[in-house]
Amino acid sequence: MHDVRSDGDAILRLDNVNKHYRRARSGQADIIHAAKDVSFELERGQMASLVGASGCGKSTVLKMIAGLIPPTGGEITLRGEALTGPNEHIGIMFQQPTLLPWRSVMENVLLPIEIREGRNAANAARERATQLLEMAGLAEFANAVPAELSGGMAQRAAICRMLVTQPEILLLDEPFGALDEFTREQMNVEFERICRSREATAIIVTHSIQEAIFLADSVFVMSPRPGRIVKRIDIDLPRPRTPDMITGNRFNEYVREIHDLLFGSGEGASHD
Amino acid sequence: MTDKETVDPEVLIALAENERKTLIERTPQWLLVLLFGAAVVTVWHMAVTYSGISQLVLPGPYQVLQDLIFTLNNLFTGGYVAHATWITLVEVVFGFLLASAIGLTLGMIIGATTLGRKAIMPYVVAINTMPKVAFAPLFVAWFGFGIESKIMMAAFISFFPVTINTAAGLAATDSNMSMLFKSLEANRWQTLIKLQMPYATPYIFAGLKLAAVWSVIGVVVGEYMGGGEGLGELVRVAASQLRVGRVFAQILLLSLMGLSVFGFVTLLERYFVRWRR
Repeated sequence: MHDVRSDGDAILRLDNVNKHYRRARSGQADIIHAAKDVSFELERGQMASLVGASGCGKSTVLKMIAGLIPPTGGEITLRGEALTGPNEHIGIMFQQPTLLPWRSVMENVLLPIEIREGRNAANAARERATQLLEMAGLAEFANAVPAELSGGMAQRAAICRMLVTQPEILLLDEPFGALDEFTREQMNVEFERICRSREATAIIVTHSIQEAIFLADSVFVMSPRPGRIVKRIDIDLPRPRTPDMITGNRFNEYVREIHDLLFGSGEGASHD
Repeated sequence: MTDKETVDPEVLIALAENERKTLIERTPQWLLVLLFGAAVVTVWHMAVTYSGISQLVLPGPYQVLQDLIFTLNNLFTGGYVAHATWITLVEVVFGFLLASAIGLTLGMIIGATTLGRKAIMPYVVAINTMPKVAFAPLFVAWFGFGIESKIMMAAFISFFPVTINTAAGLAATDSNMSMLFKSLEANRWQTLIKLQMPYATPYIFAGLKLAAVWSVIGVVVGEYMGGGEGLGELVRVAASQLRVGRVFAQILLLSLMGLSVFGFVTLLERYFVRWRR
């Protein structure tokens, strides 16, 4: 759909990206270094996850890529062009489904098109939205209001809303963190299937090590104060990923490696 | 519930014990309301009968009932009460509509613009701290003895809750939803119309309900000060003639009027905020 000459090359590139915050309500200059020299590249169709403790700057990195907050140093480029703000090629979703409660599920899914291209374009995209809802198992709920959906269903509707504009890069900020364990695992399986079927390039921010491994081709482990990437771990597990992999040896070796990076190897890992 | 396990009789006894309610809890609310009302009327009747208090100061329940029947009869047969009620209703409705228009506009300026919040908000708060009824003579001087001065008084008294609630509602927008709109590159107008205003509707309706009641107060104050042909004027005349029963009956009509406008706004709210459970 777009002119992609750099096929095979990096589609998204972060080059020594930094973010400093001024801490509110303090007399003196109190500056927090939220992200330090963050550099990585993503190829088309690659799924990456950023994992780390809360406050390690992983959400900050994601919001900078989404153009919601500006970096204080470094550069983010999409297909070689510098990103300076929100962008139609990038779709984002948050921990909360943030569906507008006064709109039906269908109207919520069409919202990005309505805002970017107007109401007529949104109406013209109804068929595409219906297909997305079918894929997410929400076809019967197109005319329901968000209050009638369960947490998992609402988050699936949010996925549809993110996908409706066919963005090249998907950014997910702890997308399933508010769901219970069972729903969460189910959502991971479904989301992996959706991404695979569209060869989506995605970055998932999570504090769940299992989720990070399950979804990603590469896991970037972040450590706090200042937030930086301490290691990139490539996940060599076949796709599609299946729930039984989670209990497999290979998977658990990855879990142990990441756990040790996050908590230090001294404090006995306790997952076998 | 669906399994066929036999229930131990002792469990049933324990359950009944857990579910036992007091007599008051078991009595339906309407009955309690009626009983309490009857008790108050009885005390009122006894007090008037045995204290020797003059009918001119406080009439008994029976006298008030007669005045009420007279007033309602006059209202429904198109007498002077009907005319006065109509005049006051027109003043209340226009006063309320004006207050809503001013309140919504001002609230949107304050809630959606930084300049409005910083420069205008302090004045609105300052005006609210003034005893607004004290302005009533001025409104008569400015807008005359006709219905205009009453409409302006009602609007002046009741624009404030609409303003404040609109501004607060616009400012209360969920921060995640704001972030979503920002990521979609929504412009300011789209954010206001598609996100902030719908989000603020429950707040706005809370303000409109207050304004509905306050505009009746504004109209009555306007009529006390500026005369005219409305119910407020009838109350003033009846009180000056020491016909206290009449006063009570007419005040009841005013209350019903406030209740009607309030009920109408509540119906609108049910329609516009039906997404909120």
